Amino acid sequence: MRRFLLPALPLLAAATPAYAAGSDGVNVTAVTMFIAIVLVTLGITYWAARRATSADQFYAAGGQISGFQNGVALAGDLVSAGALLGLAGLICSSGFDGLIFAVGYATGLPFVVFLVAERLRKLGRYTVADVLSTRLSETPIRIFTAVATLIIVMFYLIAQMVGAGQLIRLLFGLDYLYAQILVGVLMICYVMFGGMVATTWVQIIKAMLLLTAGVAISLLVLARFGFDYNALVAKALAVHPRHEAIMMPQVYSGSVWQSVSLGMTLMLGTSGLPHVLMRFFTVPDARAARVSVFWAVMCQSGFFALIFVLGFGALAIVAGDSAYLDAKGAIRGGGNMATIHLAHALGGDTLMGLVSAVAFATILAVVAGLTLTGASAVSHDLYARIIGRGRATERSEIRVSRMATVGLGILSVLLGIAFQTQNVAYMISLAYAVSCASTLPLLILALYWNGLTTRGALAGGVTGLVLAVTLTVLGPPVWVKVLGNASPIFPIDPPTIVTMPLAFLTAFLVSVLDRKSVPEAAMPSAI
Amino acid sequence: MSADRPTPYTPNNDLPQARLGWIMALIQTLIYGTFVGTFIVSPATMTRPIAPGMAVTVATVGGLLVILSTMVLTGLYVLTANRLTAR
Repeated sequence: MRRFLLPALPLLAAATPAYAAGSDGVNVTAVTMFIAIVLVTLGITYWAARRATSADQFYAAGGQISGFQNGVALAGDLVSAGALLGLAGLICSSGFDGLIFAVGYATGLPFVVFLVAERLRKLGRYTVADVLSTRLSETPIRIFTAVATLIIVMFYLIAQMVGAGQLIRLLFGLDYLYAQILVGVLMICYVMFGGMVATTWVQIIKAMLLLTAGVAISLLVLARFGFDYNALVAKALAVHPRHEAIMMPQVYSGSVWQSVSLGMTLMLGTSGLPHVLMRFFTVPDARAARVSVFWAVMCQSGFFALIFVLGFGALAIVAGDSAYLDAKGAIRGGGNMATIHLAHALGGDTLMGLVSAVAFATILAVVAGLTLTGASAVSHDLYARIIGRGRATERSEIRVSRMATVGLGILSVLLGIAFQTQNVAYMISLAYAVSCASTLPLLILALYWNGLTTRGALAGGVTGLVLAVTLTVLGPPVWVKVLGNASPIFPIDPPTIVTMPLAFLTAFLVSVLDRKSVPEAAMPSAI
Repeated sequence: MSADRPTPYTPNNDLPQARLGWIMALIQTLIYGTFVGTFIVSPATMTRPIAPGMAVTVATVGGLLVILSTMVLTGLYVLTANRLTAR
C-alpha cells in the first residue's frame, strides 16, 4: 500500500547528492542539451507570445490545436518524470509493483474518451467549471470547482517541484535552491507569455523526446540480451535478492479492499484531473477531442509497455553492476537514478546526458501545464466569472491570469523550498484521491444525470473532497510515513473505494431531496 | 435551486450515443478487473511461468495484454464514433 506513492512522485529517494557512475564532473552532453531545450522552448514562447493576446488564445490556444498534436501533448501531461524514472526505480527495488502502476495508469486514458472528453469539449470553453455551470447555478459550482482544481494542482505542483529540485541537483550538480528558482522562472515564462500555445508545444516536444529516449533505451536493453525477453527477465530475477518472489506485487499484500481501491484510483483518477481535462478545450470540436485521446493512448500505453523492458533492464543491468551501487548495495543516488544509470551503462556519458535532459524537459512541461490550469481557475473562474460577474474585460482577465501565473510560480518555488526535506510522496496520492472523489463524480453526474441539482453537486463534491483529504491524512501516507505513527487510523490507501461511492451517493440523495422541495412546474423536464 | 438545467441535448449530434461509451468503459473495467482480480483471488496463477523453465510469468504477459487492450478499445471506440457521427 505504501508503494502507491513511489512511482507517481519518484524523485524522492534521491536524497544523496551523488554523481552518476563514471563521471566526476558535469556531463557535457546533458548541459548542452539542457541549454538547447531551454532555448528552443523559450523561442516557441516568444513566437506564441505574439498570438496569446486574447483569452481564447491564452486558455485554449484558440481551439486551433489539431487532434494529433493535442494527443501527443496529453500524453506529455500524463507521462511525468515519475513514469520515466520512478517506475524503473520501483521495479529495481520491489519488482512487479512497478508494472502494476504501469498497467493501472495505462487504463486511465480510455475512460477519458469513453465518458468525458467529447461532452466536455462540446459544453465548455476554457475550464471544467464552464461545463458544470452550463447546468448548475454558476457562482457556487464555480467556486467549488476552482477550489478543487487549485487543491489538485497545488499538491501536484509541490510534488513535482521537490522532485525537480532533487533531480536537477543530482543530474547537473546545481544547488537545490537555484534549481527551484530556475524551474520556477522558466515555467512562469512559458505560461505567462506563451499561454496554452507555448505550454502545448513544450508538452509536445517533451513527449517526443521522452518516447524517443524510451524506445532507444529499450532497444539497446533488448539488443544486449539478443532480443530474448525471457533472458532479460531471467537475468533480472537472478540479480534481485528476492529472485522469483518479486513477480508477486507487494501492493497486493494488503486487504482485498486495499487492492481494489488502488485499482479504482489508478483507473479512474485520470478522468478527473483538471490539467488533463483542460487540454480538450484546445481542439476545434468534439471529434478532434476524441481523436486526440486516440493518439494520447497510443503514446502513453506504448510508453508504459516499454516500462516492461526498461524496468527489468535496469534491474538486470544496473542493479547487478557494482559500479552503480553504493557501499550498502543500493542504487547510487537512489532508485530514481536507475534509468539514468541504465542509459549510462548502455550508451556512456552521451546517452546518459540525453536522458537527463529529457527528464528535465519532462519536469518543465508538467509544471507548466499545471500552472496554466491553476492560473485559469483563478482568472477565469474566480476573477472573471465570479468577482467580475462576467463583465470583466478580456484584457483585465488575461492580466489577472498572468498575475496568477506569477503568484502560483512564486508560491510553488517557496513551497518547494519549504518541503525540501519532507516526504511529499503523499501529495500525488492526495491529488488522485481528490480527483476520484470530487471532480470526477461531479463531472459524470453533470454529464449523464438530469436529476443532479446544484445543492446535490456541492454536497457530493464537498463530501468527497473532505473525505479524500481526511482519510489520506489518517491513512498510511501521512499518519504513518510523515507523522511517524506506528499504524494508520484508516488503513486503505488510497481511500477511493470509500470516498467515491459516498460522493456519488451524497450527490444523488441531496439532489433527490432537493427536487422534492422544488415546485413541480419549476422543475426542468428531463429529456 | 430550480435554476438547474438538464443536460443539453443536441439533435444534430456530433456525439455518439452515451451507451457506446459506457459499454466500452465496462469492457475496459472487466479486462483490468480480471487482471487485478486474478492477483487477489489466485496469486499463484499470476506468478506462474508461461511455460516450464521460463522466467516470464503469466502476469507479465497479462499486463502487456491489458495495456494492448487500452489501445485496441480506444481505437475501436474512435473508429465507431467517427463513423456514427460522420457528416
